[in-house]
Amino acid sequence: MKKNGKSLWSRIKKYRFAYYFILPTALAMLFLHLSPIVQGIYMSFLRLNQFTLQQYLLAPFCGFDNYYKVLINPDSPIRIGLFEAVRNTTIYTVIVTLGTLAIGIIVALMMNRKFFGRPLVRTLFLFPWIVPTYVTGLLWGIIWLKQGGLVNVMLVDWLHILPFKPSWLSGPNTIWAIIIPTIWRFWPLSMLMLLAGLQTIPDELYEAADIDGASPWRKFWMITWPMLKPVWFILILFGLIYNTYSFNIVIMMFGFGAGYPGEWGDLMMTNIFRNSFQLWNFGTGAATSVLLLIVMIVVVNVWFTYFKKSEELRN
Amino acid sequence: MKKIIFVLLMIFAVIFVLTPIYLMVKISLSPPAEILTAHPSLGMHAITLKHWKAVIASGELLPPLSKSVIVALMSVILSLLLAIPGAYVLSRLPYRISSALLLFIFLVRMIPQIEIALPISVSFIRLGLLDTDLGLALAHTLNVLPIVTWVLVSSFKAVPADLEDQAAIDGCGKIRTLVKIVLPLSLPGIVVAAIFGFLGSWDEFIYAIYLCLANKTLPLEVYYYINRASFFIASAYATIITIPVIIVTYVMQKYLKSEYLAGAVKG
Repeated sequence: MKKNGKSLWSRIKKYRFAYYFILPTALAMLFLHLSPIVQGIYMSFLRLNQFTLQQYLLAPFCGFDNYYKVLINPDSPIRIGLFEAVRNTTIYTVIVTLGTLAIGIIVALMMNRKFFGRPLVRTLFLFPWIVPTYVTGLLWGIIWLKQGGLVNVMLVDWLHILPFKPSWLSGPNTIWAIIIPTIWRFWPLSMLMLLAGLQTIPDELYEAADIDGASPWRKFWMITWPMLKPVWFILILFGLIYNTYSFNIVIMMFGFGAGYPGEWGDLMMTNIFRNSFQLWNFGTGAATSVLLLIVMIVVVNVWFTYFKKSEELRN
Repeated sequence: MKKIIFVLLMIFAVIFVLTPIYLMVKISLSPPAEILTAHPSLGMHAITLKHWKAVIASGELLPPLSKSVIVALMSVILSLLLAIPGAYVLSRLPYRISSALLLFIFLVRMIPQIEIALPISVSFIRLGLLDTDLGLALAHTLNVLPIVTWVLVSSFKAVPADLEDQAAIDGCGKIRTLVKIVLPLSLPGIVVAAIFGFLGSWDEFIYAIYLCLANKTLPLEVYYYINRASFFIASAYATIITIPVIIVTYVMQKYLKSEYLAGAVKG
């Protein structure tokens, strides 16, 4: 924007067409999104359960009671499995985000050089991303089966790594049973974005580094990684957001019993879903959602601040 | 040595990517006796179309498939109409402002869908949109609009501003410039946006639970299907509904260049 002393109004007039153009998007966001969000936040202050659902927003107002139930009251049934859901979601989000990034960057570096059959390989790599998430959950549910599932057959019968067949769909292993399919489904996208970023890095930088005799490892950390910063900043941001709200793969694998409370297959979304949809505690479900929203805003802000600070350091 | 490691890694990555999909196809085509053994093998020894026929004959394939396709197409078209003008403006704003606005559009997604699905379904009951294709498409637009805007901004940025200036000199209005010059030039980007948007709606589960009563979409159908069917049927069903998407994407993939994802990222 120019800052040449013009009044705000003349600037608005100058960009008038811009506001007209942005209007449809803004209105759609407002009506489709903002009004449900405001209602949702309001819901978290209501005693909204199976008895009062008919009244909806006219349900009895109960102040911060729902928040008290979720956060403090040790006896409330809502809190069953909540701690585990938070723990699992944290582990899940961090590992999936970093895992997709790591695999994405390794494969993107490999795809960035020319080799025989590259177009074919590129097409094949897109396949997981085309498979819908609900099919991914279904598919991996079969792969993780205790008897006859591919993973156990591979680990025990073929490679003899484990002496017995572990159960992947119950107990602590379930967290891996949901992490790995998610990485499998989403790494092609991060690979594509990183590859796009790689192709914008000018060759001269590497040539200069070659003259200085830099090792490939050093070249990666001094040139590639910093130059890709806008890409991995976005990838980590989206990863944090999308994976925290991950739902489809888990619910497909474990059904509506998804994440029996207190188990390793329970995520925040399945927890809120159980509270809202199955126990009919829409009020407390909304309170949990709002708390999650606040936590996520803080997390995203921390990530932004870190990014901005390091940008300023570099300049 | 380096080359061997490279090739091995590549092969490993391809195997990691393809095995689950291969397995799905294999199970859907195998007679039960071959899969339900203690030591199943990877190869395909016998092929049967039994499960495919059962799925097709069951009549539970076409209604949800067509509903999902219709809803996805509707929400893609709706999102494109809503997003094209906005994305055009965003692409012409300074990088700092446009990226901040784009990120804001995404941050709005941070409220759990489960929570806003109830207010949406309540207002849809009032508007008579519950259990209609249009209602679900509107709800899906929430998911699709940000993705579509993202891709469109990147592809509009690739259109040189000089062209627009020339059009303006020739007396072409802003809207005409957008329709006659920018849109045709960024057609590949619009195709990519449409693919992304389509997949976003195709995948959606939570709004569908609230907003579908009689006619289910594919995710719901698959969900309720696997609760009562064997996994042969489930795999056959999954294979049948995945194949069209794979074919469409394979045909479209020449458009799916990574540049359209990068534009919004780079300055």
